[in-house]
Amino acid sequence: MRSYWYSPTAVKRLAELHPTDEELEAIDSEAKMLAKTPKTGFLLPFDNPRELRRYDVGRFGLIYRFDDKRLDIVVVIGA
Amino acid sequence: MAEELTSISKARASLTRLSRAAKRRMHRYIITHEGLPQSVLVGFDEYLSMKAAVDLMQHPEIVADIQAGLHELDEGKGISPAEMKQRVRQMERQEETARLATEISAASGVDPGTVEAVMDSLAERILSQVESRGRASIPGVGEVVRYLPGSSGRLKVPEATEGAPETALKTETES
Repeated sequence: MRSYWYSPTAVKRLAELHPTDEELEAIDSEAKMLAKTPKTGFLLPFDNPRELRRYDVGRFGLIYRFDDKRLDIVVVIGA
Repeated sequence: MAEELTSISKARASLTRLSRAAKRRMHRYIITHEGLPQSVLVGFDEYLSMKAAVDLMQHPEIVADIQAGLHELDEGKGISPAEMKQRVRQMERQEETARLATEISAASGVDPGTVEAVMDSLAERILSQVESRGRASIPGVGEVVRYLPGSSGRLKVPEATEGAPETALKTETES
């Protein structure tokens, strides 16, 4: 299974959205699920060597990229 | 990804096939009525991508965040899930501290830096007491017991009794 990581910017933006404990757990649980099935989210049109996708968890949008070994949560935005 | 003109009558007759092709092969069907384009049939994922593209164009700050996040990750600054949770709470505390310090500073005339330093020192003392003894005494409030797993985590203040200013606070599951 892929490992998954958050960028410092993703963590900063997430903190600004003041997630509850339950929301924080849900985000992390969905990130873990995405690490297993990364193509679940929809493709974002962004000029980047690796494809970016977005997956929404409640009021949060996770923007991520992945390869065979890891999945990175690039940024978290309000959905 | 193909784009195809199809009349509304033909589209009606083979909507299931067109819809499937739009989803699976990202085909786009421009539906015409009396020879003129009227609507477009696209797959749902592609529709979401298009919507996201418009969103991104309207929010340059998100584009900047994406670029910053990619750069940080390329530099090996990825944060593990466990650390993520700690950092989120730490940042929230810092934000709250700064906000309170600004409020107290405005009300008291003391500079925000001094207020923040006093608050930090008090918070450290309280956390250290909770860590070592499972309870802490907050000046002006009373004694607070350690958060109990399984409780809502919200502390409840019992009715104050006269002559007993130092009242123990209890979590909701205890009461």
